[in-house]
This record gives sequence, structure tokens and C-alpha cells, in this order.
Amino acid sequence: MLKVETVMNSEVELVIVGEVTDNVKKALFEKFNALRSRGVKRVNLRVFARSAPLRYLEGLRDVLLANMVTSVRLYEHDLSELGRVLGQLVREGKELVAISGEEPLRSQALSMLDNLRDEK
Amino acid sequence: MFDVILTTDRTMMTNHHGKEFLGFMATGPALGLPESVWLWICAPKMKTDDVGRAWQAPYGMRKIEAVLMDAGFKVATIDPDHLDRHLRHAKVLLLSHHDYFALCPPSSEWWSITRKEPVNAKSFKRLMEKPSLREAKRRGLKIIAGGPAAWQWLWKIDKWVEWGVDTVVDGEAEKVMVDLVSKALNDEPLPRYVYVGVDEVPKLEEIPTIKHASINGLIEVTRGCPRNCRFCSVTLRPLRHYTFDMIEQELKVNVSEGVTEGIIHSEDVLLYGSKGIEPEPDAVIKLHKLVKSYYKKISWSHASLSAIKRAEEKYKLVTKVKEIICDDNQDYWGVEVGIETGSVKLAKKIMPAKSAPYPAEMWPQVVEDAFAIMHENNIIPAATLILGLPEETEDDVMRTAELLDRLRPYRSLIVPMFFVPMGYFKTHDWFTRVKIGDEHIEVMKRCLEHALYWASDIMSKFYLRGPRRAPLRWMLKLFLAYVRWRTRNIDKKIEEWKARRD
Repeated sequence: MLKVETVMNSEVELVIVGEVTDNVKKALFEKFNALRSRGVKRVNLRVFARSAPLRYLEGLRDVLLANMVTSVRLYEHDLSELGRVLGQLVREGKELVAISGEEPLRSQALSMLDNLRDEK
Repeated sequence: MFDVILTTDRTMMTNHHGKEFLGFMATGPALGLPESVWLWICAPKMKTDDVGRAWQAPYGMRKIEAVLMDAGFKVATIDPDHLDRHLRHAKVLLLSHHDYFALCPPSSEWWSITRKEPVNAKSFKRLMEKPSLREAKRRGLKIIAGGPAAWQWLWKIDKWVEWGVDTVVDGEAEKVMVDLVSKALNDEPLPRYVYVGVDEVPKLEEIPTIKHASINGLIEVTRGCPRNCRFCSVTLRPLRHYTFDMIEQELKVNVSEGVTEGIIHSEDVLLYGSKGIEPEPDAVIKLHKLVKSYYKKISWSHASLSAIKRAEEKYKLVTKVKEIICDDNQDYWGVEVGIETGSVKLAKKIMPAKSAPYPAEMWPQVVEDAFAIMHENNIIPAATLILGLPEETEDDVMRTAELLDRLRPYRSLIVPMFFVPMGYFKTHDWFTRVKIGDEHIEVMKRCLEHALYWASDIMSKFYLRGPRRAPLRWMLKLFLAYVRWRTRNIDKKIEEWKARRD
């Protein structure tokens, strides 16, 4: 899991890059529960998927249904928008957590986040 | 013309002839009658004004309409038959439903038993497949779906995509809708899914009062529930009692638009004004006097059996409320109550506070005592029980069957419902995927016998009296006769079914 934390606040951007594999799902469950325990009031889930529209929801369904406390906004993005959206979130000072189960994408996202952190 | 329109399908946009309980028929498929007749019985068309605005609309939709009107949007709640002309101009369509895809009980149960799709799901599908809606979607219409059944879209992703729903909103939406609709109107990116968490739930002062009439004059008096049952999501929300001012404003809206009968809506009407599970008699009495000063006839949406027992035994409150409600205009009232199980063991696990202030060990006795109190006070309950709860054993179900026998002397309808994961159980497997055991069949059979025993009495003496209701009464009697005919050899049929199953 990749993580860049800029500010600790009650709203967190949880970014999923690529397919929602079982490992991603597990990591998401853990992270979501940790955020809830920490008192985070709203999670903005941002999915950068290649699959058909909304198909990733099959992997996210259990996480979403299990949640009954935290507010959620789920945004769907094209993978090509990854750099732009992450950049914007970092510039806005959002607390950001990224999860990816695919090696090439993980490396790409990691390098992007490193650069953004350096810029910051 | 309206930028934002709210609508739903015919099975929701109807007042069920003013008889809320008939709405239950919309959760089943048409049985023994043509679908058009079935729909005429349970979902007659709603009156509209010249532009197609519904005379009465579901209460939750009226709340969202009020929020958007207060925010200055051009918004209206449109009857589904009048949708086409508005879709030519509208930019945002808001949908709501109690059971979009017939996944909730009792729809899921009907579907499972009869293998026929219930009329509510068919009707919603017809709405979503209207050519005018597809055309509007092509032109850029944004669709936002919400309501109590919003969670069902997570199980129907194919329909979510096929019908072009942009956003699904799950939870009390008053505080999030203005932002979502603004974004939709301004072509800004919308979230695909919104869950309204505890911190976004509106405070009492953030809940608007309705601007137009609600279906069957329903007015909410309380949100939330203190009992914390594990199968229920309502219980997670904070308890908020409306002020008498808010209640009176909504009564005035309904009466001014010609709705003079109504339903007091709360998860537990007898706990109005209370801080926990102990009734506040003065608040309950004042509430009923206020509502009855506007409505000729009233009923309750829900009450807990423990509150009924406590209210009567400690405060004679049910008797006092009966003296307010029953007059020249009405001599009975209806309510939905939850039995859920006759098993003490299961009650302690899944709903330990449902019997409070009585101990969970007393649950079957609480149920029976409350039924006796209701029978004596002319309250006709539609009771539900749940089959297939997590950790349920054969013995638990047999305890429920035994309790049903004890309830036979009390005028009521009892509906068995298959467990659908809600509340803390939302991610559990669905019962309908599990084999139905002989003990479940036994409970369903006893519920049917109970219903057949009491249905004619309730219809003739209470629910559908008088010449004006005669056609409806005859239709329903015809249906009851059909059910009796179909189930005349029920034991033999059950044995045949079991042989096929095994």
C-alpha cells in the first residue's frame, strides 16, 4: 500500500488504482476500519479503473455495505486522469491514501506520489 | 417548466385507495387476477394537477422536494404518467423507492415462493425503460436515485449502468441533495455513490417541513430508534422528535390540500417525546390530540410491542389514546409491529433491547400481552417476523411457531419475512440462498392459517366497510377465496414440495 499523508483531518481521500483484486479489497477493508477508528468523518473513494463502468463496485460492495457510520463519496476516474487528480488533491492539502494491486500501476503511482510529496 | 423533477413508479406514487395496508399487495406478483386488476386494487392512479404534479407523493420525496424548493430550485414531484413532457426540459431526475428491485421482504419472499417477479419491480422497470427517459438521458439528463432501497443498486450494477443512473444516495439526504443537484445542473462531476454517515445526518432544525401533501397524510414525528436491533439500520441514527410546531405545519399542509386522514410515522409512536425506552404519556397524548384535531382518521406506522405493553400497564396510555382516536369517524386503527422471533435465545442475541424495559427472557410474553392489549383496544396490527436470521436454529423457529399458536385469538395479520441483511448484518449471505427447512414451512403455514382466520373479519367489520368500498371488498374477497381454494390441500402440497426438494 502506498501512502502520502499531508494533513490529518476528518476527511480523507482513499485512492484505488487499477483492478479491485482480493488484496486491494482486503487492504481497503483494513484502511477503512482504521480511518473510522481514528474518527474520520468522511472518506472520498476515488477509483481509477480500466474496467467497464462501475464493474469495480463488485469488489467494493462489501466495504460499502459494512460501513454504517462514515460518510462516503465514491468518484470514478479514468486511469489517464491519475496524475492530474492526485496533483490537485495534494495541492489542496488533502490527506491521501492510495491502494493498488497491480505492479506496474503501483510503481507509476508511487513515483507520482513521491514527486508530488517532493514538490509539496 | 421544472429543472428538477422527482418521481417514482406507479406502485409508489399511489395512495392505495387510502388504505395503506393494500400497498403490501404491490410487493407480490399478480396472483389469480390479471395484473391490471391487481394494480387497480393496490396501486390506483394518483390525481394530478394540470401539469402532472402528484396530489400526494411519498413523504421522503416531499422532504427532498422541500429542501430543494427552500434552496430556490425549480422543482416538482411529477406523477409517472405525466413524466414524458417534463423530461423534454428537465435537467435532473430524482428517483426514490422502498424496493426498486423487489429485494426486500416481503417482495423477495413472494418472488422466491411463486417464482414470479413482483409488480413493484416490474413497474419500476417499466418506468426506467420509457423511451422518453432514454431520449432525455441521451440529451444529458442526470439521474440521482435514493430512498430507503438505495442500497439495492449495489447489487444491481448492470441496471445502474444500463439505465444511466449517475448517482446513488443512501441515507437521510436532506443535507447532501442541494450540493448534488447544484453540481448536476452545472455539469460538474458527480460522485457515483454517496453514503450519508452519522455526521451528515440532519439535526432536527435542519429537517424541513413538507410543502405538499404526502401519501395518505403520513407525517413523521420521530426519526431514529433507541433499541439497537442488529438487523435494522434505522437504529444507528440519532433519535430526533419533531416539535409540535413542525408536526402542526405538516398537518396544515396536508389538510389544506384535501388530505384529511393520516398516518403518524415513527419507529415507535408510543415513544414520542421520550429520551429512551420509557414512554412519556403527556407528549403522546398531546401528539394525538394535535393530530386528531386536523385529521378525521389516524393510524400509526409502527409501534414496538414492549412499548405497547409498558404504556398500557404503567400509564393506561393505550386506553387514553383510544379515547382520543376513536370517535364518530373511526372505531379502530392500524399499526405495523415487529415480532421477529418467538425464541428467547435468538432475541437475546439479535435484539436484546427490543423487549426493554422488560428482560429479553420475557419476549414471547411481551408479544402476547401486547397483542391482547391491541385486541382489546381495537388496534389491528400487521405483524412481521423474520425467518433465516444469522445463527438461527431449528429450535428457534419452532419457538416462533409455538408463539403463533398463542397469538391466534388476537385480531391481526402476521407476515413471515425472509431475512434480508440490513443493519449490522448487511454483508451477510442472504437467506434465500439457504435451503428452506421444514420448520420454516411450518411457520409460513401457521401465518397463512392465521391470516385466513382473521382476514374476512378485518375486511368486513373494520377495514373495508360500507358501500363505497364494496367493489374493492368484493375483489379482495374473491382473492381470498382463490387463496383458500389454492391452499385447500396445503399439507399434501407441502409434502409433495418436500419430496421434490429432498
